[in-house]
Amino acid sequence: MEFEGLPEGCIANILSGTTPIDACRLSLVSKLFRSAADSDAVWESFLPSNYGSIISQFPNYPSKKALYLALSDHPVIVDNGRKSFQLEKKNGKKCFMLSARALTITWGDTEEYWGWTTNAHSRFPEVAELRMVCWLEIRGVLNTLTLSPNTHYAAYIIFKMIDAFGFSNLPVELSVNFLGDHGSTKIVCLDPTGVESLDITSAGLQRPNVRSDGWLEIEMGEFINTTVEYEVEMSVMEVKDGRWKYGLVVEGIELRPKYEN
Amino acid sequence: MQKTEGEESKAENEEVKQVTLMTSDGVKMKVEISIVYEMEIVRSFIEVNDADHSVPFPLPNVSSHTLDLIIELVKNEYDDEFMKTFSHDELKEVLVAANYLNMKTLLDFIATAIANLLEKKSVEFIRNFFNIVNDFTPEEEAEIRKTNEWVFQDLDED
Repeated sequence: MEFEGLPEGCIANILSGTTPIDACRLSLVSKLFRSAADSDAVWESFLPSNYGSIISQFPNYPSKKALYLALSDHPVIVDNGRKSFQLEKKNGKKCFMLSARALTITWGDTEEYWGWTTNAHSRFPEVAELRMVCWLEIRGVLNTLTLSPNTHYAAYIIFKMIDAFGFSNLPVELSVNFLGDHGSTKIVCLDPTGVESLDITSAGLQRPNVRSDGWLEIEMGEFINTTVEYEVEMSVMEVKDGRWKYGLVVEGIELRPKYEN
Repeated sequence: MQKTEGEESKAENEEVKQVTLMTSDGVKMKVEISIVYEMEIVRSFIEVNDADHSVPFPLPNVSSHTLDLIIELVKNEYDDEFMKTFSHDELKEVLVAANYLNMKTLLDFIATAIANLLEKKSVEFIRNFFNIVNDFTPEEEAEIRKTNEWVFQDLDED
């Protein structure tokens, strides 16, 4: 069976049904395959269908492949600095981070309790810095239609501890749920240092991981995003112990696909 | 399919229109016009020339076996299960034929099926599958590996 005469468009058609990884890999097959694998038709199919409405303005890239790679290599700030948007490189799934400004922080507008500062290491123009509270409550909401359908997502609180006080061995409640519905709640410790204490309340609690961008993150919970519209609500709560605490710097809440290993 | 009364009586009075196609191996096949109309290459010819349907329309690039498979696929409304019975050669033949006949729906369907088959397969597997000769120089190959470095990290070729 000879395949001479099978046009590039036909190969592009097939490659559109694979993944970005496969398309790049298969550009090694032959010159015709490479040409098809680099074509805009293929990479347009890997981009989310509505990317144009998420990003209002972006530089002109020489190709859809270049645009795809740019969107997956670095987050783009959207929604007037309130969110960031990024593609997962291997499959083009959508990742969002809600900036601290896009979250509802109890006492967030009161200077004595929370401050708004810039942080050189943040992707956002502003981060929220906890000055002093007893009542710690942070909530974020996102419409699930914003995310990639039929995808298992997890939410992560992204933060730093800078000259922090009050968090060591303090149990903090993280939850994720569809608004008006039951969800999951977990108890963690936000203090990364993990000094094993005699304090039984924090023994064995999950602690944050350091990200490649230097921020700390800890998973808040997970959910399956189908194609049904929900408001997914994510929260960080510490109102039970009620001790004074400070030094928590919140960059935002990130939602990205989660994979079982 | 819902039909109005008028259409029904018309359909009863008139036998289903057929077009005769002549395959590459010289077989004359009578094919329902609704299926033929999915073949843009034939449809446009019929529409322009208002051709006499009894004169076989030649398809020099499609064998009778492949045409049989295509007709069954269209009749079965592109049934996945039916297509799973195809051999690799049959898949490729239907792909080439769908492209030649310019059958948009079939082409998308078969392209998706082949895409699923090719996912995670090695470059060598793909070359064998499509009977393609590597026309890159080692330098060109190295260049592709370099520009797509993120893909070639920790990859096990099978």
